[in-house]
Amino acid sequence: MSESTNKPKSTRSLWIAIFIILIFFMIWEAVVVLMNTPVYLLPAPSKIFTTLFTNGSFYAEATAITLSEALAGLVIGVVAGVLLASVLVLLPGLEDGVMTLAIFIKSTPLVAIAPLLTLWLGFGVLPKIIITALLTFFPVLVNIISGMQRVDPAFLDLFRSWNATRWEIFRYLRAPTAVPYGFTALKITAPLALIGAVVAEWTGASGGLGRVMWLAYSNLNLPFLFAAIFILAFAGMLFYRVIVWLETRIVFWQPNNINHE
Amino acid sequence: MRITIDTLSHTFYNGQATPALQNIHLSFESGKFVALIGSSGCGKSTLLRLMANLITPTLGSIHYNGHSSRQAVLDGQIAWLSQSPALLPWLNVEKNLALAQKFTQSNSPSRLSIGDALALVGLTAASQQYPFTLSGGMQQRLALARVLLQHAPVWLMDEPFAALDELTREKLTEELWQIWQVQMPAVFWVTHNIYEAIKLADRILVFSPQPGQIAADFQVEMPYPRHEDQVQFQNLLGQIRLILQQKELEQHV
Amino acid sequence: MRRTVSLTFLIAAILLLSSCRPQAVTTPPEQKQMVFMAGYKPQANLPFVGVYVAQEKGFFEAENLQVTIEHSPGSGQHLQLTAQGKVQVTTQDAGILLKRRADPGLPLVSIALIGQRGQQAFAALQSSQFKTPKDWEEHSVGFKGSPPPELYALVKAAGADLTKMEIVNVGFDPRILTEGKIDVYPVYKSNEPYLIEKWGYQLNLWDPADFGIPTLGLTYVTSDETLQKDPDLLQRFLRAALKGILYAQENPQEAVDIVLKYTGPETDREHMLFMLQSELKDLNTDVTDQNGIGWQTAEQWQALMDILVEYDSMTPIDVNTVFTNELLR
Repeated sequence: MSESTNKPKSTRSLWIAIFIILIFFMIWEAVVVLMNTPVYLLPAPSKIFTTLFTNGSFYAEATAITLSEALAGLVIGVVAGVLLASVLVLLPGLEDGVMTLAIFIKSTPLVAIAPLLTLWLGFGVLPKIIITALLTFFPVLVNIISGMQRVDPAFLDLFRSWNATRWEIFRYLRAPTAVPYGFTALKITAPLALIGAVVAEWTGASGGLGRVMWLAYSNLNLPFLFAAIFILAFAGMLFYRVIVWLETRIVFWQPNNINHE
Repeated sequence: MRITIDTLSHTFYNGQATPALQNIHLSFESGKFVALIGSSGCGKSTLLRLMANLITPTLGSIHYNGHSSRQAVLDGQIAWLSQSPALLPWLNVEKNLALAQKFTQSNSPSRLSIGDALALVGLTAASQQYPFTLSGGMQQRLALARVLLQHAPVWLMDEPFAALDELTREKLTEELWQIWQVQMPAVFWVTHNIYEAIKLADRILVFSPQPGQIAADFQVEMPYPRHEDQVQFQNLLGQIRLILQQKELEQHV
Repeated sequence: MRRTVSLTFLIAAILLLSSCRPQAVTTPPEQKQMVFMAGYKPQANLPFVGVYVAQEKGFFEAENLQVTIEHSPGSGQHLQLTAQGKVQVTTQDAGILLKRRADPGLPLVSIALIGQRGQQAFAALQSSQFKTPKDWEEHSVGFKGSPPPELYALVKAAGADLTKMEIVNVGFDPRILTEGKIDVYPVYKSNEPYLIEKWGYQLNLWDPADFGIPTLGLTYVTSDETLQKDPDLLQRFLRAALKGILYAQENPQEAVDIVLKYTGPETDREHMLFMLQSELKDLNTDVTDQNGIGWQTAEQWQALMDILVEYDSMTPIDVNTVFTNELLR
């Protein structure tokens, strides 16, 4: 279970992934060239990449805005989810009422709320952060509650034989048990946070990748549109990888079955 | 420490009433190793959980030196060990034991250190390791070390070796006996392994199922260490087996 | 005696006239701030261009006006924000302004009519060989959002039978025309034709105005409240913005360069130039030559409203509530 036996495997899988992506792009390129597809219907990857790199600083700036919105919203959503979950587990009487409210919020289509927030709060980053936080908060809440409640009964018996108070059981047992569940939630919500920020930008933004996409699309400038999409896809993948990496370090007691034989 | 169980009955209500225990009378004291044998589902675990105040009996009482089981737990008089070692996976061995110590500190008069406890179970070298790197047997040994740290006058154990392979079980049974000698608490040991029971116990209670009742109560007066090939051992084994079989048949009639 | 009277009269007249001289040349003393929100994304629509130029060439500054330029994300937020007073001036198509005034009753008013004719037109690929709207029969005709009254009016004026056409709700994507999914597509003369022709397709266009159907273009819009509370602010704005439009008329290339500062790199310069030049064609009429650009008449608005009412696009209101020339004097 040492790290050195994992390294060759993970770098190899990385190379395989890169290889597959390259093949995908090559096929795409070939299709566009052979079928002479007009650029406004489907641009070739080569065109997309040249657009991306020729306008490096333009995209860098937009990416920075969207990423910061997504990250800020993610952090707030996670913190809110964890805090609320903790309260609900410590004070079980509240659970039904609060959960009903949470589900109500979750079920409201954010695409309807987003324009309202923009109207109230303007075109700055705040509405995007709020939307993203709303989007990420629910999966975190549900997963963390689940983790905190799904403690092995054997542990509960032991702690009760020790006269542990409800708070002590929470602090020493429930909270750490919930951490792996938190990562499960993060794996879902981190890419979701990106999408949330982008969608929020569509309803009114002065900057960011969502806005770039909207402008590009309304100008029917597809290379610009796709370049933004590529960045988003890459960013989403990066977020996910970072979380998986964090998970293997923080939840060290649960072996990551993906990389093991 | 004297433990008295009086007219204890317990019924579970889960849509329908399921009687788990009926009319249990029992008493024993420190220094005595009591084994409880029976087939699965005959209420052995229920009895143990009642004694640990994890459930409240529907009828009857349990007293520890005259105090209720609830008080006994509050006073830290009861050490609990189950099939699952329940070591917190995110803490290493030392920290696990330290946590246990923290919860039971105020109640233990003697100062058994973590190092001492580890030495007694032969796992000094493992103190910095994490539970997931240790075998099942080692983990149960650590659970025993944890029990030792608590220095409680009563040990309640619910089939702690049931999940282990036979070789490890035998070894640990041996070690348990030695560890018991260190503090000589009152031990109440639930098992379905008759060999183990005879090897270790002063007194063997045979349970009949549904509802759980004491079918037989054997005082075991063989000297330690005991071996299977001893005549007395085999006799007792046969008697107990017979009773268990009879009760099985009765159930199916 | 007569000499003295006439001299006194002359002096009085001169004094009177000099006091009536407009103060346009001097900078207004008090600095004011406002928000202008373009009704769509940054591009070379004429009202937008006027503002961009005024900003970059210092016309706003000369009016001691600090203008923050925003752009609507395209879902009508600019109208809501203007009605709320969070935005002082925005832009809007005249027909839609009328409709919104009627329902839900947004308190918005046009303070200048930049597009004296509307940009709406209908396009078909030249390969379809359609010559008149009668050729549209047995074919599909698209609309964006809701079927526009000028479509019905156009078909009627051309003597064609609407019931023989398939009227389809299409999106805002002109590729639907080039890919042959629709036969006739609604366009803005200043916008889609450029793209479609750049893609290599030739178009036939039908302009409702050619069939005598009244259309009006873009206006500068403000709220009743802002108009009442601070007409001076709006006057300063208009002076600078209209000056910006006139400047763009004289210097289109420079104007386009200015527009590009507000758009991103995804925007095509030639496209912006095309848009500007198209819309400039509808800036001037006999009436504006007389009264200045932006001038609007009750007849124009009434004619537009009558068409909208005729085709059940809105309920009638008093057109005088929807526009005002008082800031243009």
